[in-house]
Amino acid sequence: MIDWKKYLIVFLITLGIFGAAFLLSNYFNDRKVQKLEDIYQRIATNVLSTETKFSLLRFASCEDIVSDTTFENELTRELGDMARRVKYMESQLGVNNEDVLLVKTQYSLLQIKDYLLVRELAARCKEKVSVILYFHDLDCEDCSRQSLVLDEISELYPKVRVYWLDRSLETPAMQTISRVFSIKETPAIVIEGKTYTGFKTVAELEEILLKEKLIKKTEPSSEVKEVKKK
Amino acid sequence: MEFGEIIFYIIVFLALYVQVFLFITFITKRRELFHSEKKLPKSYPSIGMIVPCWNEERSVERTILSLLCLNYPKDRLHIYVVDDGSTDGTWAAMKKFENFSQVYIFRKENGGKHTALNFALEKIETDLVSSIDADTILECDALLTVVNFLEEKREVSAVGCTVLIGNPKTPTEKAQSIEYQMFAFSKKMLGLISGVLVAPGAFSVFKREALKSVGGWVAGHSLEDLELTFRLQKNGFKVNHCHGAIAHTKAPNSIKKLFTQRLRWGYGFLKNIHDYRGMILNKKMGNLGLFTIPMSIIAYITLVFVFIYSWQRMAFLAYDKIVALKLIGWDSLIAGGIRLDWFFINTQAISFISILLFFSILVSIFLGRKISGSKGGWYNVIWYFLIYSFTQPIWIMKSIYKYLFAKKVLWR
Repeated sequence: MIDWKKYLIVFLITLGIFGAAFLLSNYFNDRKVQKLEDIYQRIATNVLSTETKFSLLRFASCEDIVSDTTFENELTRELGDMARRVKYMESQLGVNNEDVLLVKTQYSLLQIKDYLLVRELAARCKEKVSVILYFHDLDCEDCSRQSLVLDEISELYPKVRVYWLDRSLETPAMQTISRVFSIKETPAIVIEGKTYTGFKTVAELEEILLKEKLIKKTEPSSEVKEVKKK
Repeated sequence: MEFGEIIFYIIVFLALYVQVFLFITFITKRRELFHSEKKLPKSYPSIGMIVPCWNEERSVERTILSLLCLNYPKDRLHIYVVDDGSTDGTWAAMKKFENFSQVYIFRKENGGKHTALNFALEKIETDLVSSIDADTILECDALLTVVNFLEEKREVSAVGCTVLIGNPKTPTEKAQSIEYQMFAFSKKMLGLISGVLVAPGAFSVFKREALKSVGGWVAGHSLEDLELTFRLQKNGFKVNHCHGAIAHTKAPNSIKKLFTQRLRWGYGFLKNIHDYRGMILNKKMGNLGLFTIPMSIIAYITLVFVFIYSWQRMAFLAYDKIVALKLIGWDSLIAGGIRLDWFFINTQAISFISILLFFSILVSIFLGRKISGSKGGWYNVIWYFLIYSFTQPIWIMKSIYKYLFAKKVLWR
C-alpha cells in the first residue's frame, strides 16, 4: 500500500538538489577566492614597485626618483577593497577557511613590508608620508564602525594610505609590529608613530591628520572633486 | 559545521523533501486531475446537509439559498439548519425558510459547533451527510461532483472539497485567497496519495454509516473537522479530496481576526496531533502517518526557523546601515551602492535552496489555481507574502506556546 520506492526516489532527488546547491556554492566561492588572489597579485606588484624604488636609491638621489601617484593611490584603494572582501568572505565561509586565511596572511605581510619601505624611503628623502596603520580584530566591538570610518577617510583622502592589520593573525611579523607600537587592544590607529587606542570618528581622525600636517586644510570635498577629474 | 547549523540544514532538507514529494505526486498523477467532462451520476443517494449556526445572521440566508440552488433532485436533498443558541438575529433569518419543504430548522441551547452537528445527525436518515459552515456558499454543481466522485471511488467514506475565499476585498482576504488556492494544490496531492489531513468543516460530505459508527463529532479542541478526519482514518475509513466541488467561504477580513482564527487552528492542530500521536510515522496509517502528519509538523517548525533566521539577518543589516548612516552620513548609502559587486552576493548553499523553496511556493500557488479553476488576482500574491511573512510565524509560535502551557483558546 505504501509506495516505498517513491519515498526513496524523492529522497534521492532532494539529496541531488542539495548536492547541486553545495556544488554551485563551492564553485562561486572558489571564484571569489580567485578574485582575492587577483587583488593580492595587484597589491604585490605595487609593493614590488615600492621595493624597486627603494633599491634605486642606491644609485639615484631622492630628486631623481619619479613617482606615479595614480599607481600609488591605486594601492590605497586595493588595500581597502581587500580588507572589505576578506571580511565578507570570513562572514560567509567562517574565519577558519584555509584559502581566505592564506590570502589574508600573505597580504598582511605585504602590507607590513610596504609600510616599512615607505617609511625608510621617506626618512631618507626627508619627506612626510601619509600612512595610517589600522589594527583591528575579529571579535572587537568597535572595529566594524572604525572600519567604516577608515573607508571614508581613504575615500576622502586618497593620498593617505591605510594599512589594514588584523591582529587575530598570529604571524611573528604581526606580533612584532604590535609590540613595536605597543598595541594592547583594538581598534588602534598609528599615525606618525603615535598610537591612538579606541574608536575615532572621521572628524577626530581629520584633526589628527591635520595636526601632523598629513593633509592640507582644504575642504575634503574639493579634494574628492580633484580625484574625480582625473 | 556547528550543531545549530546542522539542525537548520536538516529542517531545510525536510522542507525541500516535502515539496519534491508533492511535485512528484503531481507529475505522476496529473492525468487524474484534469478530466473535467461533466456527467450525471447513475444514482442519486439522499443527502442531509447540516448548517450549524452561531451568530451568523448576516450570512446564513445566503448559505441556505445557495444550498437550495444546488443541482440535485429536490426530494433527495434535505437541509438541516441548527441555531446553536445564537444571541443575534440568526433565528429570525432562519425562520424565513419555514415554509420551504427541503429546509428543517432547529433551535437549541448553546453547546458548541460539534453539538449542533450531532443534534442534526440524530435526526438524519439519509445516505450521505454533509457539513457546511454558515458563512459558506456552494457552487451549484458542487454536490453532483461529489456524488460522482463517490460513485467512482466506492471505498471512500468521506470527501473534503476545495474551499476558496469568496469575493476577497481587504488585503487580509486577498492574502488568504492565495493561501487557499495553494491549499487546493496540497490538499489534492494528499488526496491522491490517500493522506488527507482534514476534510474541512466548510464543506465536506460523509457516508452516514461511517459517521455514525465512529460516533459523530466531538469537540476536538475547537477543531472538530480535523479531529473527525483523524478518527475516521484511524478506524479504517478512507478520506479523499474532491477538487472539482468548490465552496466559497468568508475569510476573516482583518489581520487581528485572522490571527485569532489561526491561533485556534494552530492550537487545535497541535492538540489533536498530540491526541493522535500514535499515528505519527505509523506504517498502518499509510501516507497519512508517514507523510501528511510529519509534513505538517515540519511545515510548522520550518516557518518558525525561517522567521527567526530571516528577521535576525534583516535586523543586522538594518543595524549596520543605521550605524554607517550615523558615522558617515548619506555618503554611506552611495558607497554601499558601489559595492553592488557579484562578489558580495550571498552564494552559500542555503541561499540557493531558499530561492528554490520560494519558487516552489509560487509553483504550488500556480498549480492550485489551475486545479481550482481560479482566475485573476495573481497580484494578490504580493499581499500573501507581505502579510503572511510577518504574521504567520508569530501565531505559530504563540500556538506552540499555548500548546505547551495548555491554555484554553476560545474561538468564539
